[in-house]
Amino acid sequence: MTTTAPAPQVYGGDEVATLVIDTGSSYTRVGYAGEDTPKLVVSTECGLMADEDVEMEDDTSNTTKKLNKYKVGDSANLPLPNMEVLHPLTDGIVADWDAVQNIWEYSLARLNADTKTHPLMLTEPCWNTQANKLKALEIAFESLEVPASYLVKDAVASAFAAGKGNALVLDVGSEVASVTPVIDGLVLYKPARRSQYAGDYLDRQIKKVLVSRGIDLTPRFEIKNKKAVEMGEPPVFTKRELPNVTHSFTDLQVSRILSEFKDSMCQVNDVPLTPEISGEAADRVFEFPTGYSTTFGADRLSTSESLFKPSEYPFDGETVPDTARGLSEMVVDTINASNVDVRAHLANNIVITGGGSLVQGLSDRVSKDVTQALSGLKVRVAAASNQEERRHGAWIGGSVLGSLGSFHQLWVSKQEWQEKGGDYLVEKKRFK
Amino acid sequence: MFQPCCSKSTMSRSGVAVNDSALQAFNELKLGKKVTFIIYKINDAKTEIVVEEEGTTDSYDTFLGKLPENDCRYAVYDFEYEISSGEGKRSKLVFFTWSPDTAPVRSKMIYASSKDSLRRALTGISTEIQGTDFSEVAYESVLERVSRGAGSH
Repeated sequence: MTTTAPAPQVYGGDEVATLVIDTGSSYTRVGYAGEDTPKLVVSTECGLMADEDVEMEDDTSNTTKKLNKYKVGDSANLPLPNMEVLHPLTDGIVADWDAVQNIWEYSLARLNADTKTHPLMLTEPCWNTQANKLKALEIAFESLEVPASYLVKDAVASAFAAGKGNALVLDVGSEVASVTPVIDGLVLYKPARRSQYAGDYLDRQIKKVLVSRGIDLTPRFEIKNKKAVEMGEPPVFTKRELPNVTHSFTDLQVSRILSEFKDSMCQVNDVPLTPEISGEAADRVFEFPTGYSTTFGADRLSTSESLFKPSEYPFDGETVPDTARGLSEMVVDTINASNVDVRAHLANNIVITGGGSLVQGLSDRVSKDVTQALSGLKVRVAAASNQEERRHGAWIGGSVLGSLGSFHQLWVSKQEWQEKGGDYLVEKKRFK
Repeated sequence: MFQPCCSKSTMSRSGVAVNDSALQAFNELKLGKKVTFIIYKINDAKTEIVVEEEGTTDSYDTFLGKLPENDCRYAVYDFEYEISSGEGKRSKLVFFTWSPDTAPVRSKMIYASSKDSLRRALTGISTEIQGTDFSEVAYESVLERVSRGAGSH
């Protein structure tokens, strides 16, 4: 290999910053490449107004109609009448492109970014479909009119961000937990695993416990006023009268309480919980929006344990499939399903990322479980201690790649898109 | 007109290229015995991999001391060791990707995503070590990895 001459024309250079968008199930991160954290983190769960409301506001063009119809960012958190909350991603990949396009447009407008001049880097999970890649590029080139674009695999970005070309990436997101082997910067698809036993699932487990304890989960927006009460005393509050607030909106607001509980209360025991081992968790106080506060001890451990043994924590009226795997089991399965030559590399370079992995004690438990299951292999877990780095790991990876002058040779230009067509690019070339 | 400067197969995941001198240094190490280690870095413009230092050292620990505590590097070391059965010495070329946990994310990212272009250009490497702290690159750890390889006994 010899020194390569600079590309005849590279996009971006140093003057024009690259835009990076990472679209996750619950949050979308948007910002400029080269920066440490995204400029903007907006909820991917956005509001959709019922049609009749739109017609009143809409007297100009189609675009205003579209923008008015969707409520993105702060306005999606307002209890607007008849606003349904959408979950545009299913199984970690985009299912509702209309909504996602609106989120992108909203965020880029907030950044005051003229997309015609900035290359756009997008992240994607490794199980993304060809049709979805095509659609993402189509929006980038046709609607946003970016000069160049690139899709980067989030697992690869996370591995690189940890300084590893060879790694086993355990990404615990809100909707999906995935385990992806990366060897020399390339994803090994066959042994990769994923499951739904991730952040949102843990939220539901928490809800199950709270409801069984008879706790009122009235979200903040519904509360008009409340009185301070002693710990353990029943709450004293009055509700606001809000007409036509949808169930999906209330559900989203309740899930915010659950997430807060998850972040501040949940803890993974260092060894598996069994009837004999109940673990020890100090009591901690949690205050609900109603003003009610109480202590939690064992529940803090048992809720989190469900991520490791989903089969033992079924929901009422639901059966857990035999194929259900906890986080550690998935890691072990993936290593065992990988080629013998790379197993040692993978076990020695487990990278844990994703907001869901921030549950206290989670990475230590994975490390212990895997060490025990794979005797003979040296297990080593790397997890960023910085919370932001874990929550936005894939975005940060995209940010660094996008800021490299050298990386610009890999961009797909608008011209290439127009000349060769999306099918060619997605199927034959870069984004396969 | 936009044209990628080289095909995917010869370029790293980051597009960072390998400078000619990086290969010359490696060939010197391979053929002669004057050079026993090379430390590579990515230049400040983040466009290519260049030689930071090359030289001779008889102590592995001296070589380790040259790896920065808070930044990433690549390195090749001519690892010489006594085989257990007393049949004399063996020497193996070991390739290191040094990426300490304390290095900036940006640096870790660039080194990890650029490694394959350098690694592929160097033929004759027997063992590859990915190090994130000094225990992983310690003499004993490397010895264990090296002596596990084929033809080492």
